[in-house]
Amino acid sequence: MDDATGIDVARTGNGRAALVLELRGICKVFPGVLALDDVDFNVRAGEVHALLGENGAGKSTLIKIVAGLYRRDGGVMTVDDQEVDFKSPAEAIGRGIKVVYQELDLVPGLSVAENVFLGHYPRTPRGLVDFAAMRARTSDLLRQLGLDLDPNTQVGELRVAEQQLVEICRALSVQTRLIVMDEPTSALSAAEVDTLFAVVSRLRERGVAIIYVTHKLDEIYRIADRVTIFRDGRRVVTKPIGETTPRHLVTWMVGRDLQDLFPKTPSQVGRPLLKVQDVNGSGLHDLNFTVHAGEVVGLFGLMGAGINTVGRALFGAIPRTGTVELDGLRVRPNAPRAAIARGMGLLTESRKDDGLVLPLSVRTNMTLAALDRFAALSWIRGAAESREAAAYVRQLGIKTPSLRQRIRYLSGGNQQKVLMARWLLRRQDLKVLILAEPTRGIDVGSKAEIYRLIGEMASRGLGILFMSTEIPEILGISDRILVLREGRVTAELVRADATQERLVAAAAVANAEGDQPAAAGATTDVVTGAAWQ
Amino acid sequence: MAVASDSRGLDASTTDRRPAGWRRAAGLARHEELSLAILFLIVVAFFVIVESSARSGGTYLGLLRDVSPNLIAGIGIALLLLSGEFDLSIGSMLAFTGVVTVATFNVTDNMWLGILAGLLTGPFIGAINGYLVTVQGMNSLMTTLGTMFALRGLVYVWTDKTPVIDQNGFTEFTRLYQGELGPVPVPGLIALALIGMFYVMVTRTEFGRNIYAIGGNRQAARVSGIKVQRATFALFVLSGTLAAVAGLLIASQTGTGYFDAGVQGFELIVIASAVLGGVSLAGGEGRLVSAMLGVLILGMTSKGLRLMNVHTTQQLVVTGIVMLVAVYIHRLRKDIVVRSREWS
Repeated sequence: MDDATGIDVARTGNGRAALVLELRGICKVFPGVLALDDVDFNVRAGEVHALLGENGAGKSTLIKIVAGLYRRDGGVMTVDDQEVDFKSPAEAIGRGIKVVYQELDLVPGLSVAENVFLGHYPRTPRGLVDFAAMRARTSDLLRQLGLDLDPNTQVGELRVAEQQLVEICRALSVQTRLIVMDEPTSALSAAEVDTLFAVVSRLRERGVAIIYVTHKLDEIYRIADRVTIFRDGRRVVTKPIGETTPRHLVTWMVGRDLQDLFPKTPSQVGRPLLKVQDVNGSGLHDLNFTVHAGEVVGLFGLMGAGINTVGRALFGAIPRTGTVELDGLRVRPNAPRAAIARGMGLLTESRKDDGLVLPLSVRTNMTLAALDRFAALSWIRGAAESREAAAYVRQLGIKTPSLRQRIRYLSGGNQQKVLMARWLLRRQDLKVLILAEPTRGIDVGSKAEIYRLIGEMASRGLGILFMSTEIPEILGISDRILVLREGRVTAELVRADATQERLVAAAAVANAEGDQPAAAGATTDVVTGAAWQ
Repeated sequence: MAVASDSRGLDASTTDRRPAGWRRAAGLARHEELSLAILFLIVVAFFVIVESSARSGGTYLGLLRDVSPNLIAGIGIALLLLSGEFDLSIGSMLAFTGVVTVATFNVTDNMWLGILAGLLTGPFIGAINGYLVTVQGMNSLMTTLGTMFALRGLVYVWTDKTPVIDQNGFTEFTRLYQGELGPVPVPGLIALALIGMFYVMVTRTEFGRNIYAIGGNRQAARVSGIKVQRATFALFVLSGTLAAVAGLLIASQTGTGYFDAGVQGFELIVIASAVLGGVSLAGGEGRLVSAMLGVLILGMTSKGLRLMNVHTTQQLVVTGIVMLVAVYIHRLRKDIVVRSREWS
């Protein structure tokens, strides 16, 4: 450990508030993996302690131990100075620990109030559920958090961000000392993030301890008091946030200095490959653009601007009108199969929904779209298939114990590489690759590798259409940038002219709902924002 | 939530602190076919100990004959389940096919025409199911429940609930079920041949691979260029056809088209067998051979009980309990596998 004292640093300005949770020497072993190796961690009342690390660093394991989902194999855990050993999540909740997971566990068909009090409904003297009291207390909680939600609304009708706040309300409906938030902002817009952070501040004032797990460094600087970084199951460092810089954080996370996140080489732009003319439908309006061989075209837009719709529409996964030509040949709408036959590939933005086939192996997932290459009269030549798959595992640096490993057990970054290989396997006829938010939810190290791969593919003459809501990566790897707003292209910028301000100006909703300054709409990742300018 | 853990290449032996016995158990449990085969042998061993007539080899050839309709229909069911769909109409198919076959015998006096007509009921009903599910987008559970009732009703109306007897007495037809090739019963041979054929299809062909992809993630399969609807339709036709083959065998058992063939939950027993063999009800997971072992386990149980002269009504109780125990063991096995694999 390059830092022996960090763990004892209390939040400055809060005196020495009581430790709510303390972990000492925690170990957790899974077959084949030492997931946590002698880890120390603590969090005080009224403190936001950020937990940072790449996928597989051990953050999730630590959270699950705290939540009572896993049992530790070694070390001591205390809550309010009493040693605890949770055998179930119920015991953790009983001690005032609440985890807000990325996948929320709310019942969509029930109202906000019913969800908040799920499992401990207030009763009338006759033993019936006291709906009036429940609604009143929910309104009260919502008010305390400064939220404008109706307790009678069905949770299924709320946006993800609002659902998340309902989860937090639920935590407050019982005596909660510690709230763990697992990447709470991954699906939120900038305005929603602001609301969430306002709530976090209120929680802090009430003396609730908060463990905040994230990938996004800018968030840490906005709300955290201390930060702890994990790598490979070990605690690398714990420091008050004021003593760190984004660049240090990244170096600690990755274990090496990431000098060049965007190794973009100017590529030879060749003939036009993808021609889009007057494409409408599915919320898109009058799209006209061209992607050339060897070119990376970035498609930027805020969440909800429809950037991912573009990919699906061109690919034929959702309806559209207008003309799409691939290398001079028209692509039939509404038929992914036809698009593939013409040489188009689509990496969808949602790995779990329409990318991965979770129960199947790495190899099977990889060769899904290219099976005809290994099949003679439908007969799959297994040896050839495995050889090709193994070649891509090596080439893309996919970390997997074997080709037969189920894809569900790979990290997000490695899953994404498998999906990229799915299209690269069609290299004979692949001409245009559409990548919808390929770096979403993956760690910095893997992001850098994916940027490198995109550059490589372009330099081999593929046309790349790259969609993202993150300005730094759009600026970093695109030769040309299209900005989309409400399904329309509002700006087209060449690399040399593109700046953050121009992108934001073109992307921001002209008539914002009043509370939202336009420039705050974009997700900026401080990894690049501060350290790589 | 998936545990994101890059396998960091640590050697299992250096970090796995669990006892060797546990690891061995995990290794065994992981091998699905082997653990099911052991379960089957345990059932066999039980009956061998308690019932002397279970000790002759002929019993097991008889078992093969008894379960052949379940094995054959089970192939289609297993494939449909793998693709994430259901077919509940196969029980009624048995009666429908049998009645059509024997009625055609009686009308045409031609055995081959009868067999052909019987076989054709399969793709016909399968295509109806497939059309409703893929083109009209109806839920397969409800659709095939509907065809199940409609077909059974149709058979009742048609036969007035009397068995349709083969007036020509085609002995060659009854040999289909009762005959033997060497020591092996003909229906068993048919079942084994079909299993072999479909095993190769599932494991070695594009179509087989696509079944898993469709069941595992329909959207991902579509976006990867797989013809999801066409494949699903084909699977319904296949399931219907295999059920028709099973129906032919049952009709040939007595040379009769019996209106109540398969009425005692044939479709549910076949589905239960496949699930017992590890085929996921959610689709995308499972193996054909395991599903077939599931059929054998349940088949052996009822065969053994019959040998012990347990009354049919009591048999039902015991079969139900055995099924629960087997599913419980299966769940335990899955637990061990998941625990050992989740993070390795």
